[in-house]
Amino acid sequence: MIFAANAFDHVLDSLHWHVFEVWHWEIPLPGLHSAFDGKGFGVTKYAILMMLAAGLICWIYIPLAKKIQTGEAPKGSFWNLFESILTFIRDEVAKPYIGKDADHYVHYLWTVFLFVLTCNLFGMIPFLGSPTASFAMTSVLAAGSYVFINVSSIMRFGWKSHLLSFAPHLEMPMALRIGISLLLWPIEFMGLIIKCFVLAVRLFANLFAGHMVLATILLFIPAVRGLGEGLEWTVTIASVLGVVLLSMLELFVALLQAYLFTFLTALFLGGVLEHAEHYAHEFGGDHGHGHDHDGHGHDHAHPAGHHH
Amino acid sequence: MVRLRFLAGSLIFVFVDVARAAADKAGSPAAAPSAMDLRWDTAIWSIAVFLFLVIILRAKAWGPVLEGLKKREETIRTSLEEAKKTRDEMVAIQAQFQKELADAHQQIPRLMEEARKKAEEMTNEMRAKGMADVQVERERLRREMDIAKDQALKELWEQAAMLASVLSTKALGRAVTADDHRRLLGDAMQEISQASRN
Repeated sequence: MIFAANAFDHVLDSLHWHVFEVWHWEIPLPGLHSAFDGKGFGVTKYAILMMLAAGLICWIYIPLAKKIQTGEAPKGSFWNLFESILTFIRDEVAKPYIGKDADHYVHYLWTVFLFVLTCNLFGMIPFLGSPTASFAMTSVLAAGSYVFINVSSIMRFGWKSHLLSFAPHLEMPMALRIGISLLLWPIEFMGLIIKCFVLAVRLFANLFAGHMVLATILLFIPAVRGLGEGLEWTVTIASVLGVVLLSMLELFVALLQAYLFTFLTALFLGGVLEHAEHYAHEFGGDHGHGHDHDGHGHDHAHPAGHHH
Repeated sequence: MVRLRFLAGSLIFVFVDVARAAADKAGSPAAAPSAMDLRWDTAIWSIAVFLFLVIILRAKAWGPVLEGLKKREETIRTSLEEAKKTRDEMVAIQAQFQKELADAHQQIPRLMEEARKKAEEMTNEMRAKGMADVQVERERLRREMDIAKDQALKELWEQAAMLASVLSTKALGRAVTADDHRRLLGDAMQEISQASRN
């Protein structure tokens, strides 16, 4: 009757690929199995799934890129579907929240959205799993967003403007302004780190919890084995129906979380760039580094909810 | 109802058992895996795969995709501008056409009057020309008739003179010389001419 750990194991990454956990069918994966913490180190299930996701994305989008490079619209619902994802992220996420220079940064948003979405959706396929249900994986993605945001701002406006961008804009005497900025700067600096950390937690928690619920409901079936045929059938039917319904919700969550991760990355980036640009203009900083922009000034969107 | 109670009781039993089992598991010092535990191998693989994906897509996919999307936007923008320009031109042409149509409507009576006058002039000209041609033809015919008449009269007088000569020869019983003929003919011709004039 001890199956709670099994549900947990089902969602956690490991060096075993469970096929039918109840019957202990599993494929051992290459790696060093450590007796110390029970985790080991090697090519984990999620590592394989991530490689599969990356391969799938490349397999779809590299040929698609060649098809649409000429400016022609792709033919066929298959290619149109995948292209519409790119245009959605570019037009509805990057441009509104980053501004007219969105095309400089949309590459990362496309990559992160597709990677997160594919990893999320893998969890809906039997015998696979969502690598995004791993806190390690979502932490890496969030760290990637943090690095991307900072590096983009530094390359665009320079170190000085970027570091100043964490100070709030205050219309007050200089002495007071410097004093308050000194107090708020660490908070704002840490704010971006915390926001990115929350990105990781949000994605991980949603995917992990969803899969835990699904696994737990399904594991009710073996849990009632031997308690009577009537109960077994009742629980089986109820569990399967419950899992089907919750899987629909999970499908929505998979899309929503991928969108949220990308959207928030764009929002944070837009905020940092806007403030860095402000200081670059105010102090005549090294505005415009690392870009071949057209020199018409910058028109960053003003993301809602950012400090001012 | 009994069945429902049985089902509810069974489910409660299952939940309680699950909770107990989880508590037992958590209480044991060996396992207790945590969802927040970081697997370093997963993290390293995540970094490797994600970096690979960022680099490969940036190099192979996103550049051409952006190029294509920008070209498409440019094509759409140009097409819209051309469509607008064409529409403006069409509107201008339509206005011009309407104006010309209105002018044409205004000019119709004048043109018809001009056409009528021209037709009348042409008719008059043709009539005058016809009359002139008829007059010329008439003159020609008259001249030809005069010539034919003179010719006929001449032949008639020659025949008459010859006949007269023959008669006179028979009447006189002598041959009339050429000079007699000439003189008689001349006299006769003169008398006939005078008679015809009278």
